[in-house]
Amino acid sequence: MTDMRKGKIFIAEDNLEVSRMYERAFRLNEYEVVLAYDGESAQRDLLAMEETPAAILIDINMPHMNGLDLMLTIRENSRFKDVPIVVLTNSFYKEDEDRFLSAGANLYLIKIEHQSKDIVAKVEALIHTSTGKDRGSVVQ
Amino acid sequence: METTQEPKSSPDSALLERELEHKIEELRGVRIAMMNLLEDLDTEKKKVEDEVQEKTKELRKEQARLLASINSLSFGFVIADTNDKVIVKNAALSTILELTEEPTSVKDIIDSFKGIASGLDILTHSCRECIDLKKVVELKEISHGKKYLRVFCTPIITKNNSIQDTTEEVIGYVVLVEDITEAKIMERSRDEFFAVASHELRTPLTAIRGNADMILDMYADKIVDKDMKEMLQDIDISSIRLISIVNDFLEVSRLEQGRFEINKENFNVSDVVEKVVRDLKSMVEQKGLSVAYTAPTSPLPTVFADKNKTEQILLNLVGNAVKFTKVGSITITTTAMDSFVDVRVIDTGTGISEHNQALLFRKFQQAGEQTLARDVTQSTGLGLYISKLIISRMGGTIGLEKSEVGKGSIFAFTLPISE
Repeated sequence: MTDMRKGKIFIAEDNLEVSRMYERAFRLNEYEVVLAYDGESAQRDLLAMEETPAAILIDINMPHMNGLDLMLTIRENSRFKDVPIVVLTNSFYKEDEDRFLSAGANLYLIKIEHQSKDIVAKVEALIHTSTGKDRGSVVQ
Repeated sequence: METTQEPKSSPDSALLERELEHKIEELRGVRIAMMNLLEDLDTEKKKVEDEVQEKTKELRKEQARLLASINSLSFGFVIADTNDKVIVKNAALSTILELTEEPTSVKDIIDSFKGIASGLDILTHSCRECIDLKKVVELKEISHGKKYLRVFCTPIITKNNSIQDTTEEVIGYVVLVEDITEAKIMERSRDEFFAVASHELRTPLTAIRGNADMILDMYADKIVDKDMKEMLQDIDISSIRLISIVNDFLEVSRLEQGRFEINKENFNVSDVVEKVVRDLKSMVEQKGLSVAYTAPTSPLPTVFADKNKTEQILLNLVGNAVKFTKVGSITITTTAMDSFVDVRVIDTGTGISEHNQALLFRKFQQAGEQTLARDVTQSTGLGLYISKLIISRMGGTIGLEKSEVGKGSIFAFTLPISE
C-alpha cells in the first residue's frame, strides 16, 4: 500500500538518472511520485490523473513538447491553476527565468545548483503556501 | 653708228635697290627665324603632346590600378558626390546587395535594402551625418533579407590651400558595405555550442553530484566500510570541482561574448567588504588565520558599480589569499583616491615569484606549476581572468600590487566613485 499522506509529485524530466534521483528524494520524504519522460506524455498523463498532484516539476528541455509549452497548456486547465509548478533547468542563460515566472511557474531552479533535499524542501514550502491559500479561500 | 645705251642708273635708284636687297635679306632672316620658331613650336608642341600622352597613360594606369583595387575588394564600395550621385562603384556591391540594375544614386542602393524601415532611415541619416559632421559613421549591423551587413560612411574632404581660403570642403563620401553574415552565423553556432554544452555537461553532473551527496547524507549509517566512504567522498568532491570548472568555462564564454548584465548602482564598498569578512570569518579561522577590514578613518564616498559582482571579485581575492596563506592574516583596506576607490587584499602568504606574476590574470593560467601542483583540487585558474573581465566592464582596474616570495601579496582593484 502506498503512503498517500503527502500526496503526489509529478515530475516531467527526460534525463533518466536525474528523474530517478528526484523520484528517490521525494519517495524518501514520503511522497508518491509520477514520472514522465517527455512533454507530450507528461501533458497526457497529467490530464488523465484522477488525483491532482500536490506539485509539478517540469524540465525545460524535453522532447516532443518543451517545458514552457507543457506549463502553458496545463495552467490553462482549471484543475492545475493553483498547483505549484517548479521549473528545473541546467541552462546557463539566466534570461529564461523571467520568462518562466511570468508564464506561471512558482519557482525556477538551476538543477546543478540545488541538491535533491533542497528541492524537496522548496517544493514542500510551496505546497504549504498553496494549500494554506486554498483553505483561506474556503473560509471566505 | 647708232648705239643704244642702257639708261644709267641714278644714285637714288641704286640706294633703293640696296635697301630693297637689305630688306629682302632681313625678311629672309625673319623667315628663317619664323621657320625656326615654328619648328621649335612644333617640337615644343610635340613635347607637350608626348607629355600629355604620358600623363594620360599614367592616369589611365592609376585609374586601372584603383579600379582593379576597388573591384577586387570583397566588400561593396561606392564613391558618391554630395548630391548622392554614384561616381564609382564596384562589382561586390551588386553581389552583396543582389542589385539587378546599375545604381545611379545612393538612394537607389538604399532602396534595394531588404531590411526593416527604421534600418533604412538610419542608413540615409548616416550618409548625411557623415557629410554634415565630416566624420566616419559606422553601422555595426543592419539586416538585408537573410544577410547581415556592416556599413561605413566616410566623407571625402579636400583642403583649400590658398592664403585667402584655408577651409575644408566635403566633396562627397565613400560607402563601404561588408557582408558579416558568415561571422554572425559563427557567433550564433558558438552560442548554441555553449548552450548545448552547458546543458549536456551539467545534466549528468547533476546526477553524479546529487546521488553522491544523497548517499553520504541519507545513507551515512549504512556505509560502514571506511574505504567505501572515502571513495564516495572523493566522487562527491571531484564532481563539485568538475561542476565549478564547467561553470567557469561557461562564465568566461558569456563574459567574452558580453552576454552578461552589469547592474550598476551607488553603494558603499565598506558594506561589501564587511559582508565578505563576515561570510568568510569562520572558514578563515578554521584554517588558523585571521581576516580583518581596516576601515578608513573618514567615511568612503559611494562607488557606481555592480554590488554583487564586486562581492564576487572580493570573495575571489580573499579566497585566493586564504588558499595561499599558511600562517598569519588577511587584511582588507579601502582608500578613496581622485575618482575611484582602491580596495586592497593584503596577505602574509607564500607570495608569487616574478615569473609567475606575469601569468596572473591570463586565461586558464594559475600562478605557475608549483601552485598548480599544490592546489590541483581547489580552483580552475580562471578566477582572476573572470574578475578582470568583470571589473573592466564596471570601469575599474584590477592587478597585483606587490608580491614577495615568502612574505605575501597585495592584490588591488579600483571602482569609479559615483558622480
